This record gives sequence, structure tokens and C-alpha cells, in this order.
Amino acid sequence: MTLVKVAKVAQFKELEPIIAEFGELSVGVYKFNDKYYAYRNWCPHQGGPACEGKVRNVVEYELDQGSVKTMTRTKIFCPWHGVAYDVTTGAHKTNKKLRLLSFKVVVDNEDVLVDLPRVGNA
Amino acid sequence: MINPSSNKYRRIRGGLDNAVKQAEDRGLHDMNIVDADAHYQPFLDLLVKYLAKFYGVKYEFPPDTEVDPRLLGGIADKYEMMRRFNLTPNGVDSMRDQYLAAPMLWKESGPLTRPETRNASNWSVQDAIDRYTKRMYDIGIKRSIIFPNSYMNLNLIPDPNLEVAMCNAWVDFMLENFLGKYQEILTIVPLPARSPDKAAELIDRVGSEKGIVGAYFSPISDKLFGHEDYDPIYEAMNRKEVPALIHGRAHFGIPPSSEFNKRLSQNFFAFPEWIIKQVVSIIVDGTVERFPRIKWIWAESGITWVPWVAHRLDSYYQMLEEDAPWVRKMPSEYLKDFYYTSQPLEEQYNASHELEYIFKYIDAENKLLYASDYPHWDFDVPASIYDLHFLSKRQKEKIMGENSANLFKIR
Repeated sequence: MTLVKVAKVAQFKELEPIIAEFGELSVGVYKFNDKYYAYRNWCPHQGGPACEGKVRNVVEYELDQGSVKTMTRTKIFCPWHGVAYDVTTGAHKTNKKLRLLSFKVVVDNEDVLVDLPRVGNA
Repeated sequence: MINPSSNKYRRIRGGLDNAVKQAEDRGLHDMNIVDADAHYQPFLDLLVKYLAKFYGVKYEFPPDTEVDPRLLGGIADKYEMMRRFNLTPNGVDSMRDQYLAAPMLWKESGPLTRPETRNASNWSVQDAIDRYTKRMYDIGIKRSIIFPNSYMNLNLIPDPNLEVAMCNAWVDFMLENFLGKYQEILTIVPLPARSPDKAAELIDRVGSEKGIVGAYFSPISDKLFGHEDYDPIYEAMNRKEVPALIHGRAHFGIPPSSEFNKRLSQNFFAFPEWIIKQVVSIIVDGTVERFPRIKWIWAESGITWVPWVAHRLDSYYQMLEEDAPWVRKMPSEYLKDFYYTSQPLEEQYNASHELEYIFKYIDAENKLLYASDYPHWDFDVPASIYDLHFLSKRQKEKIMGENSANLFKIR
């Protein structure tokens, strides 16, 4: 485990990612509902800087025992083409090949750190 | 050798730095990459000077036009809606709002804005030069064929004389500011197709100029391309060996695409819809036989429709042959004579076997031309072709540049 500091807890605002560079690896760290999520800032669709895109809520419908269930998901939209990833999982809704590479986040007192097993070599 | 890049294009949030890195990682700077479809729309102010030469009176845009009068595309669409539905300009706005109840094309559409598209409709001359000589160079592209995007529906404005003037003005504007001065920048002649003799005159006037690689007219037309009224245009193209570079065009918000209530559905359908109509028309009505030297390039409609049209047209041709007295070979063989631009590459689940089949079907190695569609939101970076696992290095070189260089005689 290689924990690397990204920023202080106090620097994070809800759903405003802090993007940190480690060598050639760029990582976006999001705070959402008191949890932290870290993703590689690289979209598997065409290589866009996914974490530099907007974060928006998206409505999804599902049939639930005969009635329509409405859900709201919070998604990261890659700024190149709008491909959307769930901020809590990094996954695309339907295409399993589209998933942001995720990293474990650790909060240590005032600091937010990410676990980068391959620092500078990703 | 990379052109010296301007730092102003680096470190833009959401920008193209990753594409620069892709180009470096893949050695794209050592390839001769040609972009067969990029876009630029100058402020109309910049064109007025050239317009005056071809349009008798001083042209002013209607004062009741709420869209930015510098953006002719908005006006052309608006006129079309007024014509079709007999509406006043205000009526168009309210109808547009009804049709586009969700934030769609005319409003900021959520995830689809990015730093490099936001102001793409009104770059200055220097902006455009910088984008295509530096920024595109950075991501590996050596030559860009530039379409004036708002000219795409120029045939819809009410005054055909203005259409003639606008087309002439574009070419003169490009000749004076770009062509021959910047080898990276090439363009097409937009044709006033409602005035075929004037269109032919324009081809004769500028078709051989340096930097002019083809001619365009809108695929959204009352008369389809197989109509004999267009013959003067085709004669001029034949004479000057000017390829027909036909760009797909959406018609958002007005029928038939407006039957769809989402941009996703409209975007899926609108571009290939009109291209397919024109393809069928020039095959069945014999344009391709009467003007065999014209090379046809179908742009921005993808390629997955080609096998469908080929199979279906062949089977109906066999049963209804007498409708097509000009046709001398199976319709699908004409489709294999055509060229296609790659964007938007329909890469279902990342380069599927089906896509590989379609590449083989259209003879992509010789007939496919890489296109970015930069700076539009659904652009494709060069790596979109380079990373296809089923292509050899040699096939990539041809698709990404050599096919275009040969076809458009780019040195």
C-alpha cells in the first residue's frame, strides 16, 4: 500500500473534485455525502480527462412491482464526449467496459490520502 | 517535427492535453494524418466584406432575429421553420421551445459543452489559424479540411441570391486568409445548389485553387441529388475533377427528426437519414453512371448504415430493375466505390467483430478517411482509429492520412 496525500479534509467541497498529479498519473478525488472517491482522470471511452467534467444528477426509472420507481444518481460526465460514470462506483450504467479506474481513499486526521499501488507508473 | 505549440492550449480544464499525450505515446506526430472533416464558422462580420461583392445591396439581418446575427446557421434553421410552418420569427421561438422542452440544442445541454467547443462558432481568423496549425498539430493532425458549419443548411434561407453570394464569400474569405498561406488548412466550396448554373460558375472559378479539395451542398434538399436539375453542377465537378464531399446534416427540432423527443434519438437518426436518401437517389437515378469521374465522399454519418443500404437496395433492385435503367452493376458495388469519413466511429463495445466486418465490407483500407469533426462535441481523436486492434500499421496509415492525401491531391 502506497498512501499519497492529496489534500486536507478542509479543502474539499461537496462534488468538487481535487485533481492531483503523481508523475504521469492524474487522479480526481471527490467528496460526496461524507465519503471520498478517487478515480484515474482518464476516460476509457476515448481517453478524455473524465474528472475535469461536470458532476450532475441524472434520473433513472425502473419498474418496481408494477409501479415506476424514480432514482437519482450522481454522475461524472467526461468533458470530451459526455460519457457518464456513477460518482460512487466509477461505473457506466450499461457498458461494462467503461469504468473509471478507482483508488482506495484513506482519511487520516486532517489529510485525505489515496492508495496508489503503482505511483508514477500507471 | 512538431509545430511550436502555444501554451495557451495547454492545461485547459477538460481540454485536449490527453490527446496530445496519446499522440506522443503512439508516435502520431510521425504519421501524415489528414482530418477530412473539421469545422470553423467565422463571425458573419468577417464575411460581410466579401459578401458585398456578390450581393447587390448592403445585407442586414432581420432586426427581429433573436439569435446572434453573426451565427448564420441559427438563421437558416429559423427561416426553414418559418417557411414550413408559416410562422413569424417569434412563433418559431415558441415552437422551438415546445419541441425542445428539455434543454437540447439551443440551450446549454449539460454534459455536452466543453472548453473547446463553447466558442467554436465565432473564432477570429487568428483563433482558427492557431487551432488548426498548432492545437490540431499537437494531437497529431497535419492537415484539416474545414467545413463552414452554418453553411450546412444554407439552401434553406429564402433568398437564393443570398445563398449564391454567401458561397462565393466563403471561398474568397478562405482564399484571402488561409488557403495557400497555411498548408495545414484546406476547405471545400459550398455550392448554392438551388442555382445550379451559379454553382457551376463557382466551381469553375475556384475549383483549381490551392487548398480547395472538394465541393459541398446540403443533403437536406427538396430535390434529391439524382435530379437532373443538378447536372450543371456535376458537369463542372467532372470538368474540374472536384470531389463531392457531402456532409451529413441534422435538422434538429423540425420534422421529420422532431418526431423524436430526445437529442439522443434525433442525433442517431438525422445525420445518416439524409445521406442515405441522397446515396440511393444518385445510384437509382443514374448520376453515378452519367458522371463517372466524380468521387463521392459521405461525411459525418458513420459507416454502419452502409451494409444495410447495400443489402436492402440490392434485393429491391433485383425485383424492380426497370425503375433503374441507368444502373449497370449491383447497387452495393456503387456503395463500394464511395468514400466515407470515419467520424462518428460507431465503436460498439470497443471495436467489435461486427465493426471489423463493416471495415472490410466498405474496403476501409482504401475508402475510409479519418475525420475528427473537431471542435464539435462528438469529435473523434486520431487514437480512435489508431487503437483499433484489427487494423495493421499499414492500414492505419492509409485510413488516417494516405487515402485522403491521394484522393484530395494533398502534397
